[in-house]
Amino acid sequence: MMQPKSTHQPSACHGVSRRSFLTDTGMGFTGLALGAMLAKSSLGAPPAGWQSKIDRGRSGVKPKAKTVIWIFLCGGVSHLESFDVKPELNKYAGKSIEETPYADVLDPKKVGANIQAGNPNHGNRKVIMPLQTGFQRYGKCGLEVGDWFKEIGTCADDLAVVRSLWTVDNDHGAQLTFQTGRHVREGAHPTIGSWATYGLGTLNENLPEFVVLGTPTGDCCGGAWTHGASYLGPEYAGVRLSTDPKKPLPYLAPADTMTAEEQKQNFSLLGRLNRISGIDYPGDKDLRARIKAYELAARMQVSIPAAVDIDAEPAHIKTMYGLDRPETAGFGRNCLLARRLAEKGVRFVQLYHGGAFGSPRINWDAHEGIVENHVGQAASMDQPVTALLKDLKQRGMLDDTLIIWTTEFGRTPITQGVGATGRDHHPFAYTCWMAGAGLKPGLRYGETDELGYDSVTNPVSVYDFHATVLRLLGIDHTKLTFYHNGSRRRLPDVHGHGVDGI
Amino acid sequence: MPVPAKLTRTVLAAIISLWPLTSTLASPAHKAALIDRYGRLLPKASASCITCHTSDPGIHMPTRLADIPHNAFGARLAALGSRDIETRLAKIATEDTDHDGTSNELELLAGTSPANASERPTPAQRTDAALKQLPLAFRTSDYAFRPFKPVPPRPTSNVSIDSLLNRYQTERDISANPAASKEVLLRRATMDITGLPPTPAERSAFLADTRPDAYKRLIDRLLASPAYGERWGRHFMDIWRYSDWAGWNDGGQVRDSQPHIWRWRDWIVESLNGNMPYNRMVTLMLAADEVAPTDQNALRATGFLVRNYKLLSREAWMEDTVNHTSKAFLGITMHCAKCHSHMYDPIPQTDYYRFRAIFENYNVRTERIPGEPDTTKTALVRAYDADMTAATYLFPRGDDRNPDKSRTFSPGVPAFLGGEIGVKPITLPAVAAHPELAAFVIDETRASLQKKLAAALLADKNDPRAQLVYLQAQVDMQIFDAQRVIENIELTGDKSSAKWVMAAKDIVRLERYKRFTDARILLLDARKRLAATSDKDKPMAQAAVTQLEKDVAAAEAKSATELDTAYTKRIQSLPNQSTGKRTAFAAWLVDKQNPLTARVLVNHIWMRHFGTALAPSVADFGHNSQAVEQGQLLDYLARSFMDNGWDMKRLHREIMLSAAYQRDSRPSAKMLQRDPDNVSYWRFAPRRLEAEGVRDAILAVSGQLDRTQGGAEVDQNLALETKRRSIYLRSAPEKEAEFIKVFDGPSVTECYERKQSILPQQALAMANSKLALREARTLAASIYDALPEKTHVFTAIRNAFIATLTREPTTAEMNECVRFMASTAESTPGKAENSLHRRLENLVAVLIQSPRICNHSLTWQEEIHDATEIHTST
Repeated sequence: MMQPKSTHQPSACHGVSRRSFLTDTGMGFTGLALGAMLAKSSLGAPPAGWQSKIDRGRSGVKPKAKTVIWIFLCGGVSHLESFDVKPELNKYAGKSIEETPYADVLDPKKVGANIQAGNPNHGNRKVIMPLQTGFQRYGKCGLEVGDWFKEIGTCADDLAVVRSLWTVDNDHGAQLTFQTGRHVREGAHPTIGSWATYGLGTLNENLPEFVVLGTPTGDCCGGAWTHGASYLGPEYAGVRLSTDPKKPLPYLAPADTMTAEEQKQNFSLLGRLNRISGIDYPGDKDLRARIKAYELAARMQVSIPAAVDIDAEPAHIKTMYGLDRPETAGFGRNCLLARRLAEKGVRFVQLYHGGAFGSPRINWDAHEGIVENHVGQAASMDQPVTALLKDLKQRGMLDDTLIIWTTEFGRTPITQGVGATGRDHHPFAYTCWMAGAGLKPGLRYGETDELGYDSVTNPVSVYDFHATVLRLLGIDHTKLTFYHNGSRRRLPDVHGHGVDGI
Repeated sequence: MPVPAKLTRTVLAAIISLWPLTSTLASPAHKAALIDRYGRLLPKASASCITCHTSDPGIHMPTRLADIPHNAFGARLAALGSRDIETRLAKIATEDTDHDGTSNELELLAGTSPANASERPTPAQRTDAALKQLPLAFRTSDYAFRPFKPVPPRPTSNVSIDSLLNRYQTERDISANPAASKEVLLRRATMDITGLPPTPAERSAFLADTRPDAYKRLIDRLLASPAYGERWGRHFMDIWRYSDWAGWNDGGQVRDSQPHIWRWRDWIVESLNGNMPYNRMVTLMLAADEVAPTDQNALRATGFLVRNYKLLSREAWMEDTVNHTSKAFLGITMHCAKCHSHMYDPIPQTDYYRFRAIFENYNVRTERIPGEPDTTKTALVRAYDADMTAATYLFPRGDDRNPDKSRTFSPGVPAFLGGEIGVKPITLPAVAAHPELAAFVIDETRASLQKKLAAALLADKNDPRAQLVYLQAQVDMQIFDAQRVIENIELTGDKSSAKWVMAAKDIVRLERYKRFTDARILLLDARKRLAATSDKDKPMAQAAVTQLEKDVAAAEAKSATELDTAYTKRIQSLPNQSTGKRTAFAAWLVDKQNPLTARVLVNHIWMRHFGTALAPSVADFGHNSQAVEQGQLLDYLARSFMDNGWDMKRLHREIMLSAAYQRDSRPSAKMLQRDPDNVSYWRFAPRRLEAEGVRDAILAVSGQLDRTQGGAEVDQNLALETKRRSIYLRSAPEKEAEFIKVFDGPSVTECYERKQSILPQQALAMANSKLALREARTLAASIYDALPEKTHVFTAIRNAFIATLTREPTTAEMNECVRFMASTAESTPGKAENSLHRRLENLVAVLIQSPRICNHSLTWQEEIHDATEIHTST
């Protein structure tokens, strides 16, 4: 990393003898951890061990979680019909907000002040729409959950629900904001997954440490950047894996008729030729890192297909995740794969539900009809996510795994257009929940007003949320920095406070 | 190591002090020192000999400068013993030599004489001069923006890259590597200039060329290659943030940049190949619409501005423009001052908005090009000043929702760099305001009308419809001719004379006749449809006929009424003025007195030759940047670059002919201890080619690279199939080729330098991608086919090495490869993989994917070792 205004300091030179070079890059794959470390970047000199080096931004507090499964629901889930149920909407259905006792929620000084360069086509419509589904109380904590999410409801006592999130974009750029803490007009920035892996390093040197599952948000509003690493470098970017065991990663297997035996021999020759080059460049850490990257690549060719081999799971687990039903099979495979990857030490799994924009809608962007859209989306998500929660719990993994279930923004308490059945984007208040990581079970944090319009008690910005997640990982967000383009960058920019009480 | 302050002077002073000496008088060293100290802050009136010397016209000009008598101010200066006039000036800055109540310095800054009590600054001059004192303080302090020192030539040797680096190395007891082998130099230079590895034929030719200037000839040949523009064009596309259009719905909604912007990319490539001076390139990119408003080739250059287009936010558009114009050309970080005054550099928040005002008026438009009237198919996209009155307001705390409308900002650059740019509005030629007046548009329109007319003439004379179509074509042509008449009248400003009225009425008459004819054709067609219609649809068809009959009657009736002058214009009216702001800014930018522009550019070019920059923070020369270790070298190069007409090919040549560039790359343990980061350039540090080079090299070694230049971008999803160079693949937000991304392809939002990550995915892409395997097999086939005897394993291995690595294998490598070719056969007897051909394919695949081909074979800039020495070391 650059130091501002430094006079030149020679970088530490760890003289490496030819002999140690040969040992390190030998074909016996010795020093694997060192190799994985070198493959990270060319920053600094080879460390004594990976743990001492990958130690960025530690807060000093014992981490509550070592692994994150970040479930992101593309398009914007209605908070009102999921985990922040508002019966008052039924009472005032058909009225405008001005006609209710809660007219003050529209005060422009209170809401909307944080929206940057908003899209004027999205926002305030006229008539309150009643809840489009029933709800029940679940668990000892009595959490109210909309009926579209009955399965998740059965885990109520394991959930910590945050009901007072708010964001800064009223269009789908909010998806980028939720991953990077920046408005879409600021372009690409590192995402929380890349920051976490940059800060914590790998737990399994045979697998990528930040994995992306599902279909990422599409060709709009910063979609492809929502799992990128921007200036942290591609080594920290999310690696997209597919559940197709034949092709889980681009270029993982030879694209033509080359056989495994041939490839093994090829790698072997490559290793020998590389060692001949290496003799002349004993101190070249880049060359060493490249040779190591080839070895990691060779290992990944074996380890990734094994990791994504869901067929190896017992039948009752497959049924639990809904692999036997067409509506849940797709997302169920991804949830099951998320568990397998977490088990094998992948640090951060970003799991998209929904995906690209388009027509007909395949995500939660319920402009046209909230019922039709959300019923269909929830049917494919409810059981697999519940299975993931229960499966992690029964394996004892929930203690040090943090699950986050979140979305772009909420949806408006009012209809999108008079007589319409859709709800529009609503950035002023929305809900997410977390589980595992020693969170207080059954916790509810923050409140919206009676109409679910604004976050009124303990509002949590995206920045605060990021700071909180990093804190659970044992990272102080003010210390996790990267020098880029003139300043020390952080995930939540200059904002953000870890939320107390979670 | 910090530059000793004593030697620090400005680039400007260097230019002046090294002026050709025709007589001693023509070398006003003291005037130079004056200008040196104050730079652009010094008014013209003060930049004069008579500031210090007597202005008495009666005194005959002596032949020696020292013989001109001093005035009081000059005498006081002369009395101070120090040799350094800059120091002497500093000493008497606060004195008031002429006792008129204003300090010497303030008078110098105000432009009044510090030696003449009767000359005093007006209150306005005083205020102006006082404002200059803050930037002056920055200028004269030990500050990062202080211009680097010029390098005084030594009596014994000329200044050169090597003389400066040698001095640096000697001072630190660093011994530099000897020159690399010819083979390595060929590969290094070829990849550096063309982005492609040398062919086996080029290798043989170069090795056979024993003339002493063979290497120099090589560089000349490479710089003349069209591939130079493509490789270095891509470098500049990084710095200038090239992006194809982005958005969604297959272009249904364009959110960033614009379609057709590839013409800017082609302009960059062509300009580099044509060696257009850099100052001209900068001027055209910022203001071609003002300085070359009728030249569509030059207008392509404004793609630099077009690229910042944003559908959803004009604020973000302007912000990017300010941010990246300042970084790309000046190496300053203006964007920091959007919300608050700059934390490190002397850029108050107000300066940000002055800078923004330069760009406030511009917008983008798409215009027709020769050969294609339909601008959705292909067109020129360009910048122009669309709104002459757009005002710039400051956003308190950067919040663009709440502009402070109490004041507007006039265009300017940061005060510490001079502030004013001297804007003059520009009147544009008619064709810029009315693109339809372009000769090619007129010719093509007339030709297409003539074609229509000729076709109508050939039609059946007895067919009433054909007759009407002929009349229609005729009237279209007449209208066009009549339009041309009135356009010529109006160009003189005449919009009311009898001549104009007659011409306007003539068009109206023709238009009426055309409407009548059009309606009759429609009626004929409708009647025909009615006749052919089934009973069910008859009423509707009948209604259409009835309506058209009314239309025809109405058109006929209208023709009989008195003519008016409300004709329909053929041409659109765009602004016929431009603010001139960007022209003024460009002129300021490439003024030789600007200390930053040339240095920033030279630094970028140096970095792309050597892998590391002289000023490590290439986009930030400010206070927050990394220290510059080789400032003298950078200044020497920057100044000679400007003095030699901003000639980039000359600069490449100078760099590549230096000993520093030709050094062997191997490290010695001792030197690695002393200078591990190669700050003194004691070796040529190996590095990986950038992503585009990796992909292009794979295609090049197999002989499959499609060398077609230019044209619309190629779908990024075809990166593994198309054989075009990577520069032509679409590159835009969310539209980047996977293969390019894996190798640290350019970030389209900001990419002043490429990263060099080392990832297992790169190894996988080289080992497994369709591209790498297909091209390996293609190359293997051509090597195999050329074998005189199909059992010649050694020849096959040798040729595979030469084709991929431009060298022969070492004995150790040959042994490994021979073992590989044989062992495969033993391990899987009887399989298809056993054929020599198949084994050769695998060998080539290994050479292509190995980290050695560009050492990582294809992926490195060059081979890092040389054959003979590797042999002895094993």
